[in-house]
Formats: sequence, C-alpha cells, structure tokens
Amino acid sequence: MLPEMQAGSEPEIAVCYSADWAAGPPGDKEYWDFVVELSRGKHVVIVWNGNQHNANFMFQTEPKFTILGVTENSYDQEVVPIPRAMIKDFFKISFEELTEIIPSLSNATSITLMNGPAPKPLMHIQNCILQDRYFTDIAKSLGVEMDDLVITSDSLRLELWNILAGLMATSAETLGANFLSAPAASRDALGLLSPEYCASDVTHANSKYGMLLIEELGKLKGKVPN
Amino acid sequence: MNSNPYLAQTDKAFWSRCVSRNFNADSLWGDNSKSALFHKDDLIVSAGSCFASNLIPWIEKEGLEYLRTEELPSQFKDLPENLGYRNFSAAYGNIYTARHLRQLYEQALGVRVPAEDRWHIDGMVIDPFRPGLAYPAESDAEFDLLKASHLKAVLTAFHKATVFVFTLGLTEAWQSKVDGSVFPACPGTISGIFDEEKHEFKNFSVEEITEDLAKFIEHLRESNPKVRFIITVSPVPLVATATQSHVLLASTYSKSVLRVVAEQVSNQIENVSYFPAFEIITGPQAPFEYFESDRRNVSEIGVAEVMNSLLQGLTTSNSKVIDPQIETKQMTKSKAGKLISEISRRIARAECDEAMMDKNL
Repeated sequence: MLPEMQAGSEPEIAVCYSADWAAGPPGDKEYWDFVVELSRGKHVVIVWNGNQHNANFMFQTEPKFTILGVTENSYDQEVVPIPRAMIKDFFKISFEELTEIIPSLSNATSITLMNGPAPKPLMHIQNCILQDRYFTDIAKSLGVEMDDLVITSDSLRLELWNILAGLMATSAETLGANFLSAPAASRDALGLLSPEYCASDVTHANSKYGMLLIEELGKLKGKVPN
Repeated sequence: MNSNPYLAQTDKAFWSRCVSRNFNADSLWGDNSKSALFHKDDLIVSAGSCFASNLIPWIEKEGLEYLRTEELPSQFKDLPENLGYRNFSAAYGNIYTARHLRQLYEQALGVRVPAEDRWHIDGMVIDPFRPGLAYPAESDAEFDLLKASHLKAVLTAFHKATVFVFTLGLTEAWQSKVDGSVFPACPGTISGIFDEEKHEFKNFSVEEITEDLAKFIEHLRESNPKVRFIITVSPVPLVATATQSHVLLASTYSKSVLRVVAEQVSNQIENVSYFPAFEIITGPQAPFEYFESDRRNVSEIGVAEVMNSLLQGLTTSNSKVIDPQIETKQMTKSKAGKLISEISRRIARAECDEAMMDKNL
C-alpha cells in the first residue's frame, strides 16, 4: 500500500486502494477513517478493486458465456450470450461502498477513482498456473482436474474489464469524482496488459507498471479540479 | 332387472361411489391405458401458464430429467429474475395461450417474424414476447444476439423433448392488429405502450385453440416424431378479464373452453394424454385448503396433491423405476460450475490478500 506519495516537497497526493471487502469490517472502517484524516487538502486517488473479472471469471464457466462486444468466434451454439445489463448488475455490488467512502472524503482537494490494470494475456496466465503447485493443489482439493480448467478467452476477460471500467466511470461521475483508467501505454494492441508490465503471478502488474501509474498521477496533478 | 349400459360400468362411473366417498385422485386417470406418462429416461419439457412451472422441482426430485437448454453459468444464478422466465426449459416464461406456443415455435423455426418484434423504451430494447425480462438488451445488436440464442434454445428443447407438458392457461389474449402476433401480456401492463391502432383484444374459441394446439403438435412432430404430450388445464382462475363479464363468469367460460380443447386434442391425437390437475384442484370434492385465501392461487398442499398424483402414476407404472438418489444432470452441471467459480475466486483472493507467501492458507 502506498499511503502517501511525495509530489515535490509537500505530500499532496494520497493514494489508497480498496481492501478486501469480503473480509468485512471493522478493518475497512478503520482504514477509511485513516484515509479521511490523511486526505484533508490533498488530491486523493483511489485504486478501487479491479480484480472482479478475475475473481469470478478467470476460468471458463459452465455453460460458456459471451457478451456483445467480444470479438472472437464465441457466438457458437455452445455459448450462451449474457445481457450486458446482467453483467453490470453482477458487478454493481463491488462499487456500493464508494457511495459511503467518497462523500466521507469531502475535505479532500479532489478525488480520482482508478481501476486496476488490463487483463493479462491467456498464455501468461496459463504458464503461471501450470507452474505453480499452489493452484494445482487448489484444483485438486476441490476435486477438479487441471485439464478441465479452461482459462477464459482474452477477448471475454477484456470486455468484462471494459464493463468494470465503465461502471467505475459512472460511479465517479455520479459521486462527483474523476476517473482515470489504466494507462494506455501499459496495454498491447489488443488492449491487454503488455508483457513488460506483467508481474510473474496470475493477476498482478509489476513495479514498472507502478512507476507508470506514478507518472500518470504526476500528469494528473494540476489537471484535477480544486 | 332389465339390462342397461350402466350396469356394466365400474365404480368410477358413479359419483356416489368415487366422489361422494372414497375419492382418490389417482383413480381419475390411473387405470387409463395412457397412464405411463413418464419413463425413466425421458427428457421432459414444459410450457404454459405459471402452474406448469410447479411441475419442475417435483419431477427433478424424482430423478427425472427436466431438459434445460438456456441455463446461466452458476455465477449469475442468484441474480434476480422477473416472472419466472428461467423456470422453464428455455427462458420463454409463461405461455398462456396455444396461439402463443404455436407462434413461439414458428419463430424458432424461422418461419415467422413478428411485425412488432421489439420495443425501444428508456434506452433499452424490450422483447414484446418476454416483456418482463430483468435484463433487456441495451442495443438492437444485443437484442438480435440474445433473441437468436433464445430461439435456438427453444428449438433445441422442443426437438430433444421426449415428453412435452403443456398447461393451457387462458383464452383471453392481446394481439397485434398487423399480423396477429399474440403478446403474453397486454402492451402497457408489464412493459410497452398500448396503442389502439396496433393492439386488440382476442378471446379464443374452442375451434381456434384446438387448431393452434393440433397444429403445434403436428409441426413439432415433423422434427420430433416420437414426442409425447401431456396436456393440463391450469386451475388458477383469471386474474382479470377484458370482456364485459364478471371475472368469475369469464374464468368459468375460459376454463371450460380449455377443458374441451384438452379433451378433444387428447382424444383425437395419438400419444397426447390429459392429466386432470384442473379437476383435482377445482372439483367439488376438493378441500377448501387447495386454494389460498384469495381463492385464486393454488396452495402448497393443492400443488402437492396434483404432483403426488402425477408421480404416483409414475412410480406404479411397470415401465420405469425411479431412484430418488439419482443425481440429475442438472445437479452435476451446477456443481461443476460452482467449483470452477470457486477456483477463480481463490486464486484472485490469494493474490489480492498477498497470501501467496503462505500457501498453506
């Protein structure tokens, strides 16, 4: 966690990220009370969740599904199209706490919501999972054969991530905050996270991506409304 | 004593012997030659009014397979859905009239394209034939994708079925003045806008419903020749009538028409059986408690009586043996989906919690 980022000689931008909401209170309340204190007179950037598409859809579901906007050849007979409105409703709950948190930061100079990095390429995930006994043990403990696990296509995970970005942008607009999406420089031609910004695990970006974010935040300074 | 035809009748022909006393719902149809309604390996599809969906949990509990061709991944199953669309084999929801059933199949076959096939309302694209869907399309392109998939699921279900249960619900309907397409609800009630220029009331006759049902059976058997039909009449009275009659009179008329249709079709067409859910619930022998206090909705014990009777026939038939311990394909698929979802969640949780350092967690 980066509780505070130095910008010039004065700490002007506070960066915080959402805790694991599934863990529940009281930890979260203490965390955000701390952020409220810290953010007085500062530009606050909240990196909110960002892993919902992985947490729910890293592996191909049964039955397989697709959504309008997915470009691959997934509109075949075996694939169920799901309404985009249903996907949005599914993810909506992960944004609900923002309606309490953002108003509580009323003494901040500005508030910016930021989403997580773009999805990683399927090959990267596949290599990570196959090489890590932890994941194979999870599957084994649940009685699932690794061969039965098919990683969700790049195109579908990307579209799910795009929907999440749209929901965050809407939340930001509704709550009077700014929205900053993952840096375009971090993404490849398909929109996925470029290999140079991938950490060696299944879901995270690396420290180089972190530096890219800091650069973006530097650009943000002065642009956000006071 | 002079001989007469009644002397040759069994007890079931005499009200005093089988209704006034010793009433047994199974006797309504149990010694009928068509009593083998379900077989162990049947793929069962149902459609009709809401009463038709009551069947599903009961037959699945018995280890029979209710065919589902439009299922959601387990992740989405807890999301709210209106009006029970997904209760049925495909997500067509309640089909109250035989005309609607016939038209649905014609749409699925691609031989019918309704003139009024979508409504644009508040930025969403509504299906007039499934107006209460909780998650309508956001664009015409998405509507086309979702509708095509739905109709494909309908076709798959109808063509794979070995038993098709249809519950006749209503004679009253609203239809398009342009092409006669029947809507499941009057435009403007659940969704849409009622337009006198485009929409009209229709109260179907015995002849019209008989023709619709017979044509549907005939058309379906062109692709699925062995499918057997079980026809029931919903005992649930009309919630409202669009005629000038009192709703009780309109309801009696409607159910009478439907009951005649059921009798005619089951008598005239091979492998079509009538199951007397209507009589079990509404006959003079039926206990007061078979209806809820609104005297419209069938109570749980009423539903149980109908289903037990239906399944009693199943278990007494020598053509099938039902093992309640059988895990249905539905349960197996659902379990697998939940496991895969759980693995996604654990991986994301582990990495988000930075718990990778302790992989024993």
